[in-house]
Amino acid sequence: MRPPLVADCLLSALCPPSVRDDVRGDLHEEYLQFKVLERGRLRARLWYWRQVLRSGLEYKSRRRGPGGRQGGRGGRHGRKGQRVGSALSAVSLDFRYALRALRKSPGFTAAAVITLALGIGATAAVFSVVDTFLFTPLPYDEAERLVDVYGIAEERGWTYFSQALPDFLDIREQSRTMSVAAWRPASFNLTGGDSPERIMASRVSWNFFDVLRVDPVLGRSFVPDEERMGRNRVVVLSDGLWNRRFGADRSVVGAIVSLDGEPFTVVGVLPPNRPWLGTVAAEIWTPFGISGQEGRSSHNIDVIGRLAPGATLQQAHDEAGLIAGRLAEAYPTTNTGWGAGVRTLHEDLLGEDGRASLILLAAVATLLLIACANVANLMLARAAGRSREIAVRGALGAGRVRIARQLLTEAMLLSMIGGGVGLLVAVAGIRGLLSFGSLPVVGELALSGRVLLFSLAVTTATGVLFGLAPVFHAWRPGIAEPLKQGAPGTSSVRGARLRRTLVVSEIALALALLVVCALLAKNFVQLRGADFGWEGENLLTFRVALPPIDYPDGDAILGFHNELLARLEAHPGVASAGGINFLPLREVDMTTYTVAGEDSPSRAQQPAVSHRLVFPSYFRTMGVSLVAGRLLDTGDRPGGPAAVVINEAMRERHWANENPLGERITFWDTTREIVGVVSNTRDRGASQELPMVFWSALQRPTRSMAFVVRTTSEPASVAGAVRAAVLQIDPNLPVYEVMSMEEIWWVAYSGDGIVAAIMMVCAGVATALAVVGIYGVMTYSVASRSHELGVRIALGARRFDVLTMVLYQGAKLALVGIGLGLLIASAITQGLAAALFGVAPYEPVMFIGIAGALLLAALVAVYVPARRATRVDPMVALRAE
Amino acid sequence: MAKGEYLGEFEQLVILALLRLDNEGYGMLVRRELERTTGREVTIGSVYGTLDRLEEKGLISSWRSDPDSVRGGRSRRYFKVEPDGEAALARAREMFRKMWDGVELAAEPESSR
Repeated sequence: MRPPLVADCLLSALCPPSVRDDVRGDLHEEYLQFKVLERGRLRARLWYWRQVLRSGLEYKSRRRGPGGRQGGRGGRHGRKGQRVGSALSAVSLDFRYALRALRKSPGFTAAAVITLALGIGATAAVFSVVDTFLFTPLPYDEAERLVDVYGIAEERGWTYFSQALPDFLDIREQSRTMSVAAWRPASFNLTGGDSPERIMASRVSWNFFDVLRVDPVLGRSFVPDEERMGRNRVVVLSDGLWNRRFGADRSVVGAIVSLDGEPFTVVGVLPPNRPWLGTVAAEIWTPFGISGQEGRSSHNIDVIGRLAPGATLQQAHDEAGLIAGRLAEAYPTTNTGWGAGVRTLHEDLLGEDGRASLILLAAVATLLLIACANVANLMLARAAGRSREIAVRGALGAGRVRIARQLLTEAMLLSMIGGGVGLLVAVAGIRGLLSFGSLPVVGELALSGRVLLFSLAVTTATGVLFGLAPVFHAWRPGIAEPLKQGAPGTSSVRGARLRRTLVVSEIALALALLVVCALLAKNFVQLRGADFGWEGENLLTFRVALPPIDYPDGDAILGFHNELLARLEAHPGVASAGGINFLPLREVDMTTYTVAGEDSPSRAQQPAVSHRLVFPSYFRTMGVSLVAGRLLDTGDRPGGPAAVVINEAMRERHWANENPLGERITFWDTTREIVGVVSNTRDRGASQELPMVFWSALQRPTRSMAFVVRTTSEPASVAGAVRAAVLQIDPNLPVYEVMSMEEIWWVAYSGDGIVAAIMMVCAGVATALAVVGIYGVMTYSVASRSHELGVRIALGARRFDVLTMVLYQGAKLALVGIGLGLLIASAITQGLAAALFGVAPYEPVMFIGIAGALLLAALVAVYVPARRATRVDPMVALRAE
Repeated sequence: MAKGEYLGEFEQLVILALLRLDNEGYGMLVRRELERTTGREVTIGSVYGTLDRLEEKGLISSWRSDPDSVRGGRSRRYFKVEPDGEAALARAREMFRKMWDGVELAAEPESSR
């Protein structure tokens, strides 16, 4: 533990060499032996800095003191210490002067500090979001070497896709650049104990934890043998599950747990606070049960890997492609057209969110620029008012550099204070962001060291930026001009133009922000109101998964499902009930197919479609309407003719002008006849009306199903009854993922909502600042022209004329700003429209509306100084010459 | 030190601190002793400056100890009070005693112990 390095170097610079070693030695000794222990590290460092600074000042002043020892010991000291010493004292002098100057004008200081605090604070808060997504490494050992190995279906244009298990095994065996592992989501009914619970889980390859380098705290992870079917009845528990269901019993290794009615042996427990490990919220991990019969066309696992020592990402990427190519040659029926690629795991988990947060950062940076412009204007106004004082200083010998340095010091001091207060704003902002909901995997949203450093950099840059304005203003010869006349500081032409330019840019930027905000708001509102194809209100959903051991065959499964549906519909609070294997806006399932009668392309070229299994009452419950033919009904039972219902989009794709009823589609193992067409639903999200096909769950019983219940009142009111109904049929079955369709919608779109909300705050503050800015400029302009206005009035101008004149000048400024802003805004709209829903590249109504509103606000702001202009007393104004 | 020159207040405090440390004080110990007794934060720079000045006036002298591992192999500079220093201190005390004689303060300051 060493004393602060910077302070140490400073001390060496300031100390006379003869005592340097002793002084440093004494300070170090005291620091290490006493201060750190007595007061803690932070206060010890502060003490060290105090000692260095004050000793340094004392040495310097002693050197300069009257009768000081310039010869002898002092003279031998050398020049370097003197220079550092005098620089220190000059800075401290500037600093004290700046502090005094700010204290003398509390109104200005308060206004500037508040403006800066808002800008810097907002920027810091948003940067902490960006930091969490982009800069915080994943919490693993050497996390930058972890990768995601994805599948590419070139002809279809799919990328970042999942892989098939046999392909994964080949990659694992053949890869020289990576060690790879894989996982896929799973869930189990955990029985035993008070109540059955549905546990989220991951099925993983045996080396999953090894690749991630996560070591269990109890027991072990998996061994290669356990990856085989029949030998994979082992599990690793999460710390949370271990605490919750096993009472943190340290002898849990070797215990048996019952998952889906089957016994599994606990082999290990993971450490607490474990980072992402596959399925979100997974609490149990168990190995794949590989039978060797898995097909290469089911792409249902995700592959991760760790780069081997010395291997690069590019090498791994190329190798993955090579291996995929070899597989395509070896297994042409299944693997033709499939490639593979590698990207960092960080990019996989956080890339998209990171990019989205950068957009927010751009918005907030714009806000900061507006804030800077405002403060610059404030400083210019103040500098003009102090031109006399500056002139006096110039006359007394202060060089321009010195004066500039003084002004910059003031700006920096102001900036630092604003930055300090801004951190408080940032903390409040972060709390606000957190209240929107949890953020994904990586970490806490907090003022990390990086965020603080960033804030410091931003604060410094801000100070320099707006500090330049008055420097620029003061940097001209003839600095003594104001001294010659008796008039109070008149604003120079240059200063006025600079102020006007700043205000115009503020308004332009504010307009751009307002437009972006309006676009995002419109996007969100459109999403909210969009017709997704179903009736979203009063719809409760939940899932039930039947363990194979209790429900071994189709009859047992259907027996349960039919019983459940009957009980649900019998309940008074339920209007209708249905079931589906994957709920809209939740999961995705696609399959390839061929249409009978069309050419049969190769597997890689076969079209793909979203595919669902439904109970017949599903459509009725969801409010999806029938367009042609009939819905699936109870007649489509096992053994009956294989039927399929398609949606309109699917019909568009193949039978645009014909009647599809009676046509046949061949899926991977059945050929089915189209019996009906239903209206489109946006199961995959608002922007996509994709083709979908529906089979009857009665013809293909599935153990894991979701149910939808149309309730007569609040969905939540029926939740209890739903659970009871399930438990009545089978007391060992947990009901899980109980959510209303509203909640599902929110989970899918909360991101858009949050971004829109943040933008609104941003744009609101920016507009307020811009309006205040124009008010300030016009006020100042009127005040400094009181003489001219007095003359006009004395010469007969009516009050009304003066009013309109000032208003007109203010309006001109606003209009130029708005014009500029519209240009910027339309460029942005072009870019954003593609990514947003319900937003067109040209939105004239929106633009005109916002421009009009901003103009109105600006005019209101200008009205006050305009009124003041009319009240100028010509006698007073003319007399003050 | 020529007759007629005064010992400054801080110089007296430093010499007293050295005496309290049994003439085996060095920079850090002197600083801590001063700070502890007077209750004011004392900078190491002022301590050393005064020690140097006193040494030049011949009132104290210094010697170096053996290299110390605590200080990373450097040696410490110890100070002791010379007879001249003691004499100067005694003179100062006598001087003040005489000046205090017959003086009563309107308000007594709080004593810190």
